[in-house]
Amino acid sequence: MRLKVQKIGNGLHPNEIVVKIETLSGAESLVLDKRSLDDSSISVGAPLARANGSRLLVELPQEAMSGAWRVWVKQSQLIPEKNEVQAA
Amino acid sequence: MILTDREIKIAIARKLIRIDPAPDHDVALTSTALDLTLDPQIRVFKDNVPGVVPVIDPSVPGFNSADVIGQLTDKRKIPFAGYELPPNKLILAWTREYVELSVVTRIAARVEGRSSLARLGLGVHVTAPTIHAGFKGPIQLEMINHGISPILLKPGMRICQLIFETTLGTPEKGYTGQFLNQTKLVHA
Repeated sequence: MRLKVQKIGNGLHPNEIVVKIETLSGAESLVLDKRSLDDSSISVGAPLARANGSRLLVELPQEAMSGAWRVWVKQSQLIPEKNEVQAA
Repeated sequence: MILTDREIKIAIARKLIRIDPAPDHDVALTSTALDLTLDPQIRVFKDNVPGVVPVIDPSVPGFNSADVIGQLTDKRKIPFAGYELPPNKLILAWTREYVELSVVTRIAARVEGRSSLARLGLGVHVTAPTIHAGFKGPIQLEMINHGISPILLKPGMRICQLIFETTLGTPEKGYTGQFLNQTKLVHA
């Protein structure tokens, strides 16, 4: 799965960017390589857990600036990978 | 278990590990590690103004380490002649190589120093050596000279090594769609 993000700035290296992620406990910011960003989303693999219907736990590809690795997000924040297809 | 040179080559060939630019296997591999080289871009921490000691509080809501480090450091590009890292000086550096570990892989990695540089007092990371499955990017290095003499750093020099390890099982995020219920996903 891919998690929607918003680019908010550049990182410390020319190849780095800083993105913002909307989580259920507030915004998280994350430094990533530019190549990780594709159409304003990043790959996070499969969700790890579900709660209250539409809340999904995902693991970020890098440690967020707050120190968080796993965050709860709304299902609407996730989109399928290009090599994934939706089953019935 | 740690991957040997043979297993590292197989993992690269199967695209479980991606290294760009591709390493010269003949010289970059050792029996249980892969050497990576130094990118010319570095960030050098500024010296404190005498009498002024800034205090960093990472617990402040909205703390942005990139902004803080950006203000505390100067961007430099290591010239061909090299950059002299003084004793007790911390800099941020990166590997020239882009590293990618597939999210579905059973491979993680650790970045470690090289003994030839460690003997001079050069440390290449500060307690954060783990490269998780799903990682994409150059490896950031927190370099400090613990020795007594400046150490000359040159772009492209062998600066660290990656040790690849197999995990016991696939990480949960490497599985597909078990918590998606209504929108079950499968790999094409």
